Amino acid sequence: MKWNTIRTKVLVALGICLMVGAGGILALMRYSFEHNARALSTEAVSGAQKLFGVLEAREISKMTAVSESLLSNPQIRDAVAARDRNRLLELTAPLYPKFKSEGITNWFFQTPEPDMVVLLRLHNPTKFGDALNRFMDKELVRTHGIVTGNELAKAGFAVRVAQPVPDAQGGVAGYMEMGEELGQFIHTMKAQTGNDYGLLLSKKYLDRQFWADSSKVWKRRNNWDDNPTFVVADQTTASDSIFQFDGDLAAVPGEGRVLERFKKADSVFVRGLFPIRDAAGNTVGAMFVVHDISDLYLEMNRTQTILVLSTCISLAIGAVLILLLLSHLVFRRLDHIIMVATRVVGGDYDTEIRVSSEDEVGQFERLFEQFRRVFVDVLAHVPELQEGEQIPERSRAATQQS
Amino acid sequence: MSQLNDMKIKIEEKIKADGLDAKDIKGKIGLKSGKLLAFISPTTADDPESIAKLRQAAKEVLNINL
Repeated sequence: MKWNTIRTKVLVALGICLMVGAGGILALMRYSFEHNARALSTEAVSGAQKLFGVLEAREISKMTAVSESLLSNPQIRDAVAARDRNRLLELTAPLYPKFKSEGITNWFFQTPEPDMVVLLRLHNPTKFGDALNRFMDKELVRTHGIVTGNELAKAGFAVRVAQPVPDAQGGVAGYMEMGEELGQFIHTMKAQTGNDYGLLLSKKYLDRQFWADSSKVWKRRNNWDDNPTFVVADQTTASDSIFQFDGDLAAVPGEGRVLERFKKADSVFVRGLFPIRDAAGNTVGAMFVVHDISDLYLEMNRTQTILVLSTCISLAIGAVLILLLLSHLVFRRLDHIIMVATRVVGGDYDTEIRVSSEDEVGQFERLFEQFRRVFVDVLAHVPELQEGEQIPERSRAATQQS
Repeated sequence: MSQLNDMKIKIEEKIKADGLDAKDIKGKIGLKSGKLLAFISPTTADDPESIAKLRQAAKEVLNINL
């Protein structure tokens, strides 16, 4: 292949166009995919956060209604006021299995201040008499009203509703609290969205021994050492690897954060997390959201392949057509001019250049034919040539006519 | 005898022996050497530059050493 021919230059230009075109398509597809993946990730995080809020509000509303109907029972109020643990257990124990099946895993009564110790734990009746001293307890004492929110306790991290138990004189006989493990929410959320979730709790708010003990109670593996700054309290997938996060949970902004995309086996996931705050407003953990975008990724790859292939085929067909057109309009006619010029120099004074069109090359053909006739006429008057090679009469005549 | 004319005769003999298109080959050699073969005759004066160019052109077009 000669590198200085127009054919080669056109081919190289078309090749560059093909590469730029294919590269442009790849870049556009990549940009589009990144954009969509980020949008999906953001949507998954914000959607999960909204859903979490809805579930939280729904459960608070449910527990508030249950609490109020329970506390309208004078026998329960009297048992609390009398600090009669056995009577209270007798009255409430039959209800606990039903509540538990509805998600209310934590249910306990406390004595009023100033001692404010646990009177009865329905979920662990043998353990009582301890003071909790949590933010919610302080709020109960301060407001003597209903307090709701998320709170870490020995039984785990739960959304809770606590309220005073009134005595017969309208005072506070004690307090009752119900709670639902936040870990339960993620299974509901997975059922509704198909995403995977993980509830991460900051170690800063947990005690290593407490975590080990509660792991035994909840029959879960003690995963304290899995991550340096947080523990996974619950998750909807058996895989721990998709919950990798090495940032500070406290630094996660209120609207959540989208994390990097990652691949695992044949699947592609986008990830993000949003903060979980306790009743005091501390960011005690985060909900990890994992959204599978494998279908989108596969579809993008398929579309990318089709687009790149179709671009390459189109440009290849275009290249062939352009080369055929150039060959017909330019190259063959230039070859003819070169052939005639060569033969004239070689002594062929008869072959004329055909003017095949009035285009730019045609103008050149006409000019060159005129030049050829002048050249033949000059040769006709050169004595040395007249002695050796004869200029045909026809050529002379043609020259004279022109 | 002119050396240029000798070279021209050898070129013509080669063309004839190989059955080539004389006008085409002579044209190519003429264009490459800058010398019209038709102008070369036994009386053509030799000059080293013309001889060298014709020798080079014959080598390139016909692959012969003159």
